[in-house]
Amino acid sequence: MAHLGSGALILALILAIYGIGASLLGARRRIPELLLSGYRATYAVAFLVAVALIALVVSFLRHDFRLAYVAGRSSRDMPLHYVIAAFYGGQEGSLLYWTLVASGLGALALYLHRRSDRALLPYMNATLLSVLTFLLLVLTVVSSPFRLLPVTPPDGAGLNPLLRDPGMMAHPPFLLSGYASFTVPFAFGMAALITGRLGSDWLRAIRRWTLLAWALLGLGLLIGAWWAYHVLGWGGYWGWDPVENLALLPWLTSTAFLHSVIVQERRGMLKVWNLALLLATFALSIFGTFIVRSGMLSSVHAFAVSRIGHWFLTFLALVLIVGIGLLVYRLPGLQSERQIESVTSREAGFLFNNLLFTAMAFAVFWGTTFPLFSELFWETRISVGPPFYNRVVGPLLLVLLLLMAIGPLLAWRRTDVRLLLRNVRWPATAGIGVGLVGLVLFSRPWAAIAYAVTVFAVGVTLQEFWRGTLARRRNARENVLVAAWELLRRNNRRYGGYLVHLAMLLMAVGIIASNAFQLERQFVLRPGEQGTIGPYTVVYRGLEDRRTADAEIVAAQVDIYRGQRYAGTVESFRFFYRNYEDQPTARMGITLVGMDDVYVVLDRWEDDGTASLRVYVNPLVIWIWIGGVVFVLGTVTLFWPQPVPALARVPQSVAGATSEA
Amino acid sequence: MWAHQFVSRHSGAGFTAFVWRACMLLAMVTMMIAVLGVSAVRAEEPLSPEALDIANQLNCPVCQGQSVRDSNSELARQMRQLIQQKLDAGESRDEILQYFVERYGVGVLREPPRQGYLWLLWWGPVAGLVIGIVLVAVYLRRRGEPSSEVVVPVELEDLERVERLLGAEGDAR
Amino acid sequence: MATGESTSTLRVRLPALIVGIVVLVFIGLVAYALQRSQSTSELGVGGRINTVGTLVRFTERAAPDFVLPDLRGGAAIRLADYRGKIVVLNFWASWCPPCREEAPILREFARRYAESGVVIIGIDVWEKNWNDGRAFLDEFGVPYPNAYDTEGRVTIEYGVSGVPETFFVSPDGRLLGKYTGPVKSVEQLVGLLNELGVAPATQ
Repeated sequence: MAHLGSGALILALILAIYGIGASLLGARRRIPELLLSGYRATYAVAFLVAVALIALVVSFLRHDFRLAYVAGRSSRDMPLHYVIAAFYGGQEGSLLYWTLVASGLGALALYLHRRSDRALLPYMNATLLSVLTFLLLVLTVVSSPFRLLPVTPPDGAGLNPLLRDPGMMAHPPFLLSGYASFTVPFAFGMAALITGRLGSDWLRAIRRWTLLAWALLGLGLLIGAWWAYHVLGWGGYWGWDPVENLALLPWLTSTAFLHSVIVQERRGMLKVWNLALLLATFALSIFGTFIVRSGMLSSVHAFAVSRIGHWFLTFLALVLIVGIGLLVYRLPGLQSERQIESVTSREAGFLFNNLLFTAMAFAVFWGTTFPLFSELFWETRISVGPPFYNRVVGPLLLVLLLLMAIGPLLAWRRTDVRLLLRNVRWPATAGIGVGLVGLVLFSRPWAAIAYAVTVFAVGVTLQEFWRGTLARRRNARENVLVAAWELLRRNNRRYGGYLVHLAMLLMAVGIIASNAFQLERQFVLRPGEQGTIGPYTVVYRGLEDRRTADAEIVAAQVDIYRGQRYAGTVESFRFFYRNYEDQPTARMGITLVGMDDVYVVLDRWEDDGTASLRVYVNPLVIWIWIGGVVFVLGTVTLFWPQPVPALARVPQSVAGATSEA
Repeated sequence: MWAHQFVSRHSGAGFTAFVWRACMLLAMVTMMIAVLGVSAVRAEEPLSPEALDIANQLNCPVCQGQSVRDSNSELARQMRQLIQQKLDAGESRDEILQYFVERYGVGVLREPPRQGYLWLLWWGPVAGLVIGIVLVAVYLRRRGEPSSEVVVPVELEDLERVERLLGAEGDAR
Repeated sequence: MATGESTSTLRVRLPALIVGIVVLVFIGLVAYALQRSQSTSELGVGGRINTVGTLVRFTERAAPDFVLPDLRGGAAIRLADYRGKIVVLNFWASWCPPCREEAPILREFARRYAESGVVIIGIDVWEKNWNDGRAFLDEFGVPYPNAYDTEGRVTIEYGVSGVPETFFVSPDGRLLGKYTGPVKSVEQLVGLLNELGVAPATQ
């Protein structure tokens, strides 16, 4: 298996290099056979990488501890699903997975676009294969998952305990595939730059691919937050840890891209900016992958330092030099076709949106990389923690929410301000009302303002849905439900986008509340004793010792009462996995009472059963996860294939009239 | 029976040590997440909210990315106790923070102080935003003359129809 | 659109060029930082384990005095009692592999420089069970005095953020410097003392 795997990788590397040559030469000399051969090389690379990955998984399943990678991450007593999941539990395996996603999606893109975007494809293919060549080089030369141990140990060390959690089964694959999928839009963007075909074909080609990568990355971040909330035990879900920040960066820039690309599609503006965002997104993906493995930033996700740092940095420099170089070279051909006409236009709205997203990305980037330079220039180790980000990003988020409320109401080119005001009057009234009530009731004014803005934005979004539905009902004579459904289906780009907006707003509800109104108390209790936190009483029942095949578990049982009423029992766990006894992991005891999460952390305990418990009351956090579900629904809507008949029914005159807009 | 008597993995000879070594070499996620100290299970005295708050402003020096409040390492526990003692002795929050800064450097603070070169950190994002605003403003000022066409407020259903057509066109794949 | 084609394209390109240069300078700095950054620690049972050594000098800093119980159960150990000697203060833990590597070297140093006005004092920290520390002393036949810091006050007072960490105290009680990570040889330790200007009398 090891030889099969490493052989497949070497072959893939050779084919990838060949494919670059074939594509470039074929495009230059116009030899269709050579081009085809180049595409086939990509299919073959994807296939070979898949073979390598399967070989790795099979090695895990067969407990083949000759492989250093397998011995280092699995053991015989681990449950099957963790044995399988272990393949991405380390650097080599996760790079292999990265490569598989990039090559697989790349091959798929080549196949799907084989007819429509012929002129771009050779260069898209060459770019894709260049990225793959780099990854395969790393996988074969410096960081091979198929390296053999000189001596075969009878059992492996087992998977890092933090990865032995359901959340971790899903978080890395989504995050990594999000990173990796940005390769496809990047390849198309580079192809557009190389060929100089900077019209709208490449844009059409990449919008969905970017959307896919963006959705995967977003989902990965969300699952990561969920995991952190349930496992890390600081009562929160987002710690502004460098590794989290670095994953957030490409998500921020791609969100900006997905918005501003609409402006280019509709109005032919912002071409340079869009390409720059695309380049930045890909570069940040590489940067994120690189820096967490370079050991330069300290993080909760302290990855072992490895030698591939230099490789990634060199690659990143190449990507940026070529990318920026091409962009500069093509600049004259990227002039806007139109000019912006009014500050109160949809275009301008998107511009502000991009300003905010970019500013946010910059702030996060600045805070994350600053410690690097602090150490370099001032020889001082500093750490930039949550207070910095909350202070800097918080206000930007608030303005963004406000823009989310107004943006959808802006018309292209110019907005009639009176109409706009009329459209916002009810949501704005609701928002202001909530804000005033909040100012009176809440101890924190910022929370009242944030809620006012959120309610305003939710109001506008729902109003848009409602009016769209009513219009359909009137015109198509459908009942309300059918109308709403058809609205989403036929107009999926617009209303799918609004669904995502709604998801973000629901999350905002939870984020604001848990930041503003979290309660925390620490108790040292003997079994049977109790403590109170806010309206809740926690009764500590005692500890229980359990044992599984690969771990010893300590569980603290706590009854929760709201006032006098029993509201549930939670168990807060500590796991001690074999070989990792010094790195116990945990799972929090969390129960939802009304809209509050009561969150119990087992810190320490003594032989007589006395335990230190930390208890948090996190209000409305549940809305973050509900928002996550809506986010998934929204992205599914965005991907929903357009009903074709709609196009067929287009009267010629209308089609002609709209092509200008 | 709560005493977890695990054999320290470093004392294991032979293959355990070997696998441990291999694992060290390869380990990507040698996460340390603070929960250190298996049977260091001394339950600590409860901390006052103020102590917890101060602990939350300090980085645990032996862990990465976790605050003294959240870390379960021995050192963090000792630091929490010390914070509580100092509070009980009447020291102020700033004095306590200063005590740790003197010993562990400014890196021990979760929120970098606003002083010296660290102003760069704090003003960097603001500068970025200002540059962004200026660029957007320049872009907007360059806008052309408003077109002479009259912009008629579009009825929603028309808009919807047009968008549907456009959407269908844009997404034809 | 413009009269001077070349100047206009330059003007169009200039901002992007500037951005490009800024980005590349950034990459260069990161590369430089990467070159300089040495990974110095891993994580162990009780905290950080320093694996690579670096010397930090202190100026004008008095070594905090302490009185700590003897790990072997003897009389309490007090730093001030060693005034007039160079004190090598070694913070260690039994579960830390580099500390194990270092122990024979420190023992050898203590043996060779027994009469030269240098003393080593070990301070055991962050143990789950202090008997582990005692077993460590027996295993390596550590000859020099060893204290243990149950509440971690001295550890915090010295700003220890990992093991092993070695502090150097001058005969008049000043804190000269600290070395994070294991000492690799007796010669290196002597070299460190020399660097700090407190050479032990050679044997």
